[in-house]
Amino acid sequence: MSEERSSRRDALAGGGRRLGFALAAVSMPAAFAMAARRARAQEPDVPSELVELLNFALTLERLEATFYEEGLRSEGLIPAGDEVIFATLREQEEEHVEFLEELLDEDAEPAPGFDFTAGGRFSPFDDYATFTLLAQAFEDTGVRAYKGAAIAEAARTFVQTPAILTDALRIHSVEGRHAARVRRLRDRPPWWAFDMDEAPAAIQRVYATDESLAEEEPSWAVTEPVVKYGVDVPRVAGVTPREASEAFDEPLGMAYVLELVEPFIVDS
Amino acid sequence: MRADAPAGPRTDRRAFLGWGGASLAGLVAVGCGEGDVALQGVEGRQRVVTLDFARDGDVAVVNYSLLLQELEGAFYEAVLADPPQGFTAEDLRVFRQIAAHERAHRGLLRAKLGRRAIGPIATDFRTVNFDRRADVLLTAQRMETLGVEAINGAAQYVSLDGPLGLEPLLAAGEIVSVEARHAATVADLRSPGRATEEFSPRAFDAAKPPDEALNEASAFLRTLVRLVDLPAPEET
Repeated sequence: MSEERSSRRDALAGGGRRLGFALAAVSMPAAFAMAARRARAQEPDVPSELVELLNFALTLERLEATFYEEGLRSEGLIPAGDEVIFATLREQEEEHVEFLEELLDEDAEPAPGFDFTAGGRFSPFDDYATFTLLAQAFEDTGVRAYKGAAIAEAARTFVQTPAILTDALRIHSVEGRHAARVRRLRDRPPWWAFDMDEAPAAIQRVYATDESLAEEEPSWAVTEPVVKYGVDVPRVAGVTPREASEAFDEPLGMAYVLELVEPFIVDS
Repeated sequence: MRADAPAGPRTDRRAFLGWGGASLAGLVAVGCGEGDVALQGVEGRQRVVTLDFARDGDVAVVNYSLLLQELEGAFYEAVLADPPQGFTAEDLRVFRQIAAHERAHRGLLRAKLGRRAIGPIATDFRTVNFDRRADVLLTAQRMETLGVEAINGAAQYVSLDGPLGLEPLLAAGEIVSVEARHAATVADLRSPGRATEEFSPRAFDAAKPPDEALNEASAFLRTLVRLVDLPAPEET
């Protein structure tokens, strides 16, 4: 059992995180459900199919919690009036981290190191505008990542573990609140129309269409018609394409999100 | 089958609204039979909507979501038809955008459900003071939060078997975080120029079971909602 687990961890270690995940998924048949017995009886067993996805969520929560912690500790960075926002974000991300660590138990990956300069590209703790810019990117990405991981990628498995699905949704909606608040702080609409013009150049990739990521099928531009699940929403609902786009937060695949956040992670 | 169907009258209206209100007809929960919970709105019934979870599965879940979206939409339309004097340009802009999103949500859900969609619902907002900005914002905040809590609580009833496939879960996921954005924004509008923690009161939004969510919503519903064969919450 532990041999299998350490081989999965080895596969995930190193720079080839995406490739490692693909290998791990292939080498662990679904029947090989290795959910360890939980110390606390009320913790649900985590199916093996969900371990990687929940660790992915844990990585993002750790990233956010650490980011806000460092921001709050940076003298003179956050204006006094805004502190309550980031204190709230930090506290809640830390609760999310704690929850996921407990849920995953010994399947929780060790915490990586983070470099929020992304190799010197950003100075988020010297410049408030950069700090809030990255906060927005992390939160908006986090909302979409949860959705992608919790719903689109493993919908059937999550449906078979409704307690875990519900917990994931309860975190996910809070991330939506976070994203809205940070966007408002930056004088942006609290909702997202997938409009490239709106994205600052530095993080445009978070919001951008990229042909090479076609396999993830992220939707980015507000192109007409805005079709959701085969329905031309502007037409049936009497809304503009932009409004229709804002009304839905779309999922984002785990592999794509990991690629986006990789510059901020020191060791994989 | 719900073993713990409420039997007596409830006076959740005041709890929902968050302030001491006049005593009104209130809400009556009637046991129609084992496992059935009928929630009666304001004064008598104008029409009945039945959500039969056993018979209709995911269709019932989506209709449940549609019902709440319709309620929200009706509220926003009522506000925008006659906004409070104290509403700023920003308040109006936000409310118009939210109203458009709600139209998009129910437009999608209705289109996907087709003839399986519930009929229009009748609402009653007489207890809302549309002249007071604070009341309108608080009501909007509670409604959006309820929408979030209801979708979070409905996910466990989704089976993904049936005519709608994965879409009920995927669509619910895309909608609920936007509802959360709405809730956070409206909460923030309540303290203009001053940041508070109101945008996110807790690290985990609630996941309310349908009878509880509809009990709250019934403060504004004329339509009688019957929940049939609501499954017991999963334990695993």
